[in-house]
Amino acid sequence: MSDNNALEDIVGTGNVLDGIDILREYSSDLSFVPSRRPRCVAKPSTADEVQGIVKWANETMTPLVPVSSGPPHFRGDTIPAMGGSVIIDLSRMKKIIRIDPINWVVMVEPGVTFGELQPELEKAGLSTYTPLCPRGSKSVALSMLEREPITIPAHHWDALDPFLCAEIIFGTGDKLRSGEAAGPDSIEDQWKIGKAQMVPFGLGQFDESRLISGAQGTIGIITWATVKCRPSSTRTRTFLISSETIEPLLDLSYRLIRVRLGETCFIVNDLKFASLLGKNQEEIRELRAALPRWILVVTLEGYGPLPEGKVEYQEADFRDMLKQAGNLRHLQNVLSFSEDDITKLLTKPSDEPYWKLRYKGGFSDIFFLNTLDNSPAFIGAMHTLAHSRRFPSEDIGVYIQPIVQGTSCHLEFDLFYDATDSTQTERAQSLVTEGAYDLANMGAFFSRPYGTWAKIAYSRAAETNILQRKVKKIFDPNNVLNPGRLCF
Amino acid sequence: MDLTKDAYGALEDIVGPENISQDLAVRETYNQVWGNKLVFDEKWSTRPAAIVMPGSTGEVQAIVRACNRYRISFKPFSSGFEIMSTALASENAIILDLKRMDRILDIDVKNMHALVEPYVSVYRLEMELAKHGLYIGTISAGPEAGVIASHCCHFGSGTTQVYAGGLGRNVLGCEWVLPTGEILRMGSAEACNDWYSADGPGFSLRGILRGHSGANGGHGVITKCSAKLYHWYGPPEWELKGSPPALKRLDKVPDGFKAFGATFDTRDDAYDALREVGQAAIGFSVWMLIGGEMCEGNDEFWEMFQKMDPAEMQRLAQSLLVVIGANSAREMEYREKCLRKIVDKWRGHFLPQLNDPMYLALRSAVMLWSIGTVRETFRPCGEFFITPCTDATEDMIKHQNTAMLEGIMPYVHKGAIMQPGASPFHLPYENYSVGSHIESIFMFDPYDDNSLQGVREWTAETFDPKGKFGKFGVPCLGGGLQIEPVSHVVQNWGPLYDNYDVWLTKIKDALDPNNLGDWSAYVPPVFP
Repeated sequence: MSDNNALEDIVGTGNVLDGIDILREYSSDLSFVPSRRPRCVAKPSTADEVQGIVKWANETMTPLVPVSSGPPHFRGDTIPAMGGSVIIDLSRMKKIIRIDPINWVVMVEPGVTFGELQPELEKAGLSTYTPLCPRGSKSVALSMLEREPITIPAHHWDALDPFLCAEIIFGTGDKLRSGEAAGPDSIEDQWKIGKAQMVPFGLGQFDESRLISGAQGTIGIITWATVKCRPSSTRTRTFLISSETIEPLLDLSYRLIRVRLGETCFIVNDLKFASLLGKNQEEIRELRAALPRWILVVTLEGYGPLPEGKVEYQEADFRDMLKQAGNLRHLQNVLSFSEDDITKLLTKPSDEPYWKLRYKGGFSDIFFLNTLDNSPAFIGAMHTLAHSRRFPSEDIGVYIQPIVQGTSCHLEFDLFYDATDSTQTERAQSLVTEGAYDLANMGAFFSRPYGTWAKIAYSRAAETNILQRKVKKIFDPNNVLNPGRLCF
Repeated sequence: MDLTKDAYGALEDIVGPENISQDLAVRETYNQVWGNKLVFDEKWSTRPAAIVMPGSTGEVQAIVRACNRYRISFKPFSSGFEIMSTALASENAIILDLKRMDRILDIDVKNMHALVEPYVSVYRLEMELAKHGLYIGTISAGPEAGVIASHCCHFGSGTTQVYAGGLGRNVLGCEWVLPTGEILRMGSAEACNDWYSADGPGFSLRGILRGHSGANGGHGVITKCSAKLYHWYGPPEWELKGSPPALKRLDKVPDGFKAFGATFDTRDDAYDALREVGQAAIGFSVWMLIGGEMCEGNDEFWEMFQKMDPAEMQRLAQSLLVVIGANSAREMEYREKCLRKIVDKWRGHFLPQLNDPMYLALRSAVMLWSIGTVRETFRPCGEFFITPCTDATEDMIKHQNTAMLEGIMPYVHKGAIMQPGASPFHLPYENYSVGSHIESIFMFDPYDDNSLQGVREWTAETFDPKGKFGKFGVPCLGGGLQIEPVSHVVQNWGPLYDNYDVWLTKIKDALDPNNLGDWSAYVPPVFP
């Protein structure tokens, strides 16, 4: 195909793939988004190549679908919504460009995964911020750019944290380095005068990074990003605080986050926690049986000038809080899993297979934002919705992640089902698609609207829709970047 | 220029005759602000055609629509601290004074955000929040500095940025009357009438709300803002002594806090210590000391300034003031030990004069609340200016500071500029996780030709994108703290900074096709 030849001229022979098996891999994922086969897959290795592809797409009016993480994918945002799309697979862009142990910043290309970054950071005495047990093949930069919640709400100052600066190729094919990274000098020359590309505030009177955050690749493609890191803990205490009702744990979370005591802080139900720990269905069932209904996970981590002192005072203060909270139980271990096992689990990507697939082989998530105090109402509603669609509510994992220093939370329901069972699959699909309408009617904010949620979210955000289209027209006037996603 | 009778009548119908004026005396009061002489070489800037005082979002919307109908430019005005608040790109422009929109609409204590209208000041909100054990960060522009002005529209830095963040990063929602008259409520406010997130659905429109600086009214009027709040360690109420313009004094550092002054042998040691104090997450308010001592009155300051050994003044300017807040005695002890360890590591000392309880009480008042530091900068000479000014790593700040001192000292020596003790305003953001802020502040006399000429020369040096400051970042924090038709910062620096000017003008054009939001402190759709 002549157009593929043009792509080969940009990325090199062998980096444009159009074999039927390859195209099949990129045409669907584990979400309910309908499959569509791309025209081909281009695998650039440099920013110039990405820029070349985007310019070519504008000339030929070809839709592009950027993909950074390795499989499996779960959200439908990497499936072409338009026929004739070209996948830009950024997985060859794997350089960890710079680790800055003084300013606690790392610069990575988009193909760098959590599985690859964490060991390198450890050598420098640093640790990455992660979502809850991400799959090892997940792109670090894209996870953060998509506003995946991290597990340490006290360090989550802003919705875009820990994302800092990036090099962006907009839909026009123009390149811009955001925040502190812009300027007349190369990045290497910037390092010589002490810059670390860590100041994220937008250039002038707009903020470039925010325009590509949560954009599902519809505004620009990043070719590197800087993200915040933190020092590795030299001594960690992990607490599992349990309760048969969720409200006392929500209260305790509020108190902890308000005074920024500790690091990791989230709440899960028994099934979710068992799924995180267990290696297979049997073990997950066993663990679940041993667990109380709700668990608050809290870590106290030792780093900084006085690592030991930090953990000691925080533990003492935390124990005082627990006493005041009253009837809460501190689980010392969960069956054979010790505190250390759980600490390790929280600091590394998921083992294979990905933990959400272990219980029933298939899963689908529903997640949205709200405030912690509204969580019980949504949990109740979810169970009612599940019941009405004959989806077993006991197969729903619940994860409540406070974000932006406790001002809101990410509320996630994992619907575990057997993907080979069409009835279970249909019921899960009904819940994920139609059930989301009911949750939105209750006030669920689908801030990151994947798949069918986009329609739900934008039907409640008319003015946002209008304004986002105007912005899209500036940065991607030919709508070549992931058309059909969000409101485009 | 006067409005046409029809245009005036249309605006009067919206707000009522008592809330609009084109009286010359009234109009003149809205174009006089410090800084005019330096920038415009006059005491005045462009006189607005009328002043309109809307009382609601609906009235703002109606005014903006009338402006589109009659092709009148408009500019919102709230706390009005700097030249950006009154400058106009055209005489055919009205000012919307938002002082009637002054309500604290909601304080969500649990979820730590407050919803406010434009005329709510940071200081007023701080006083109200303390009753709930909550806090919003200081803005050093004085007690009248507005929450919306600093969060959404302009800029605002303060010593508590280390603990309570700053700039647009604390915006959890806003209501925005666009230049075409539509009303946008960002994020969760539009989707579900709750004000906890401004991001989404999809990409974040905070990206066009503001960047390093705000649009200063150039792209519409912000009528509500949901601001992120923080825990307050102190008491719900306290007594401050003295009336403005006297410093408000505390008898002691408030309960829940301790304050320290650490002095370092070198500037680099001080900066490294500042980074580590930030990273240790122990500071509630952190600040490099500006120019030595602090005095109640101008005469007292001048006397001290004359007597003081310049070397000693320089040494004191290498001091870090740190206010620590804590929720328990254990936490306080830990944080104090951390501070002492960091100070020790960087060879610092706790000098008696900076650790006197009364001195620390005096400093704490300024470092805890938005009382402001501007009196120190206005009084000695009349006015002050800031350049260079940036947000960066401590490492880059060292480089920039060296260049700044080399460049500015000739002007100090010839008496054009006063800079007691080399006085950058230097503070870390968010436990240093996004770097630090620095403003190179100096004082000058706007009615002294030598002084004025010196400042203009120094400004020209630092505003030259091809000069030695070109690599340190766009001046005036991206250009939002200057008058674009005069200084042309965005226009001149954009091409060297990844062409950000191109995107900004396109955003302006998309939002404001009739170019009616006054662009004097923003950008026009096309540079004239």
